[in-house]
Amino acid sequence: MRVPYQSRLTSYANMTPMIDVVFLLIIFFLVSSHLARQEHRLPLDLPLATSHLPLNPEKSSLTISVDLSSKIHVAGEVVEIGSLSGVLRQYLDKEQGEASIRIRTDGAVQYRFIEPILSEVAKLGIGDTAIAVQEGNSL
Amino acid sequence: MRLPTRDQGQSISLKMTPMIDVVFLLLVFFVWTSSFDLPEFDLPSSMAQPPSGGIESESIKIEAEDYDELIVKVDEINGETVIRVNDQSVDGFEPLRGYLKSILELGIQPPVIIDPSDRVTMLIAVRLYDIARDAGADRVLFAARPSE
Repeated sequence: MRVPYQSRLTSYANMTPMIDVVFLLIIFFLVSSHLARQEHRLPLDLPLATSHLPLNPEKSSLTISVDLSSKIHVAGEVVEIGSLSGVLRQYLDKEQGEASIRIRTDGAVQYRFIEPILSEVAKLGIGDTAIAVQEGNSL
Repeated sequence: MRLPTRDQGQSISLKMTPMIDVVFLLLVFFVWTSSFDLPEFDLPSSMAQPPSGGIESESIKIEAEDYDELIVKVDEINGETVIRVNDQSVDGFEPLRGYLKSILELGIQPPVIIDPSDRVTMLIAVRLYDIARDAGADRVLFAARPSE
């Protein structure tokens, strides 16, 4: 009996669909991680300024967001002004002297709601404080 | 000599399907990864109150004389923004910029303290802060309220 002969053509794996799938997976994970990062941001109408610092994406700081109803958000959770000091202290202990605070506030929020936050930050001796702004001239 | 003949019928036809596949993939990738949010920048801000660590906080001494410090008070009365620098009225943002520039050009660098009233929004407070920085002030500070 003659042994069935396997043709050479079918013996090697076809790489094209595998590369297609691998590329699709890479794109999927890149996009999903990017979208996950974007979700952190609370959408706010920031104040405008021109004398801001240049963009530094590598700088990591604790972001305190204040929305239109003057609620304070830290890491996605609403924090009362009374307990902000505790949150800041925790952050300060973790960062070991390299603490930096970034305040994102809606432009329509009154200064009296921001002043206590700035005060708390100053009391704890955190010098590196910034207000998030967008480029432009207001009014 | 005979020239080698090419198989003309098959080599000319381009396969469109894989190209469209790739183009669509690239399109989807760039549309998803591009962010349509405006970039956010940092405006360094500090407080006039010294970080003493204590609970007591002193109110800012307001001295009209000299240029030891420039206190920019801002209030909103009947929807209008009223700006006063060391108790001297300034009518508008652009005159304020000029006023601060003329003082800073004298060669002194007094700290500029922005003191917005309760009604003033952050949009205006940040605008004043920005104007003071833009005018060339080294130290621009937000005023702290005396604690009750």
